[in-house]
Amino acid sequence: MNLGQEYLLLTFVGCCGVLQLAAAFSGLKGMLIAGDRRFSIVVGALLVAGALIWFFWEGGRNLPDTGGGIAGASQFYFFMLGGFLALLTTFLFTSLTNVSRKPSDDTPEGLPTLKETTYLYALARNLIRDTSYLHPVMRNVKAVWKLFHRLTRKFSSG
Amino acid sequence: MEAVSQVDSEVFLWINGWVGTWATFDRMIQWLVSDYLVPVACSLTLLGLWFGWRNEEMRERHQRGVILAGVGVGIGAAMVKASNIFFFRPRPFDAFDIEMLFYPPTDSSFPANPVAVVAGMAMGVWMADKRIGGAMFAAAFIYGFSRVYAGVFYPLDVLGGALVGVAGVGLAYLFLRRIEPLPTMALKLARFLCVA
Repeated sequence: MNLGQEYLLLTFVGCCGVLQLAAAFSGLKGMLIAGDRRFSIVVGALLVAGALIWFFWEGGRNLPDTGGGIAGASQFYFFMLGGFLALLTTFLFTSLTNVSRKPSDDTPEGLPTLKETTYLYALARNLIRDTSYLHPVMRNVKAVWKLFHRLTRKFSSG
Repeated sequence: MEAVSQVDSEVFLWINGWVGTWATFDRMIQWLVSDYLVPVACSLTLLGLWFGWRNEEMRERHQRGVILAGVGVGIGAAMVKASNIFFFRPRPFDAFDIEMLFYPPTDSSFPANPVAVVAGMAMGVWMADKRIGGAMFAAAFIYGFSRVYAGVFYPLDVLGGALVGVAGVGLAYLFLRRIEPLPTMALKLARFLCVA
């Protein structure tokens, strides 16, 4: 592995650990890899510490970006990618392991939903329950259809 | 200006002069001065602050702080880039024969870009949470000190970098207030997608 790949792995594993710690402290049970809060704190701390120790085991990795190091902008992109992948992995994995969790009807919107249910369930419920976000899309679809119909009317057979 | 530069050089030489005195301390500095350790630790803190609150009000305040820090760091980095176009200050190792604990960078010494990034993150968080923001400022101070000790920056470069980072967040604050309700709408969308 080159330094860029190792850095991406550091950010991915570190972010997975931080997500477990944050979910455990904020009571987002639907985001915990293991249902137990204390166990998740231990797992999260081990992931963060393990990733940092592994990456910096041989020193500060002090290399210029012209000699194998990672430039500042690339560090930002790698961190964003690592964080996104960590979020995706956590949401997918915990949605499968906590599949039996179902929310009550008065569950608040946003992250607090994950106190009672899993990410995929909460997202699907939001998409189905609230369809107002579809209105501008549907309006545009209707407008495009009307335009298409008007343009092709005289050419259509029938 | 000459006198300020003279004092800056003297303070730098005094701090860097300790290199080689304690091998364990030098080794520790080689870790701290890294391009990765402190920035990654601060970025992970931002991620934790986004998700890690039980209280609704606290969560929103910290999420706004994280957004502010992100935009502020971007503005700060742009300010450093702009400054480097018009102003170039040679690195300390170009002017003095010194002991170095880091590779020799080729860009301008003033302002210290990595310190601007970390100070920007600290300032964004500080505006939402004084305690955690204060801890991040302490990390920025240690990071800046390690860079001077390692022979990469003058103390004034670090101070300049910190000020640029803080100013970037100040501008980000004004910018985000100006484009309101866009940040609120972005948070609402994130809430709809269950990530805020």
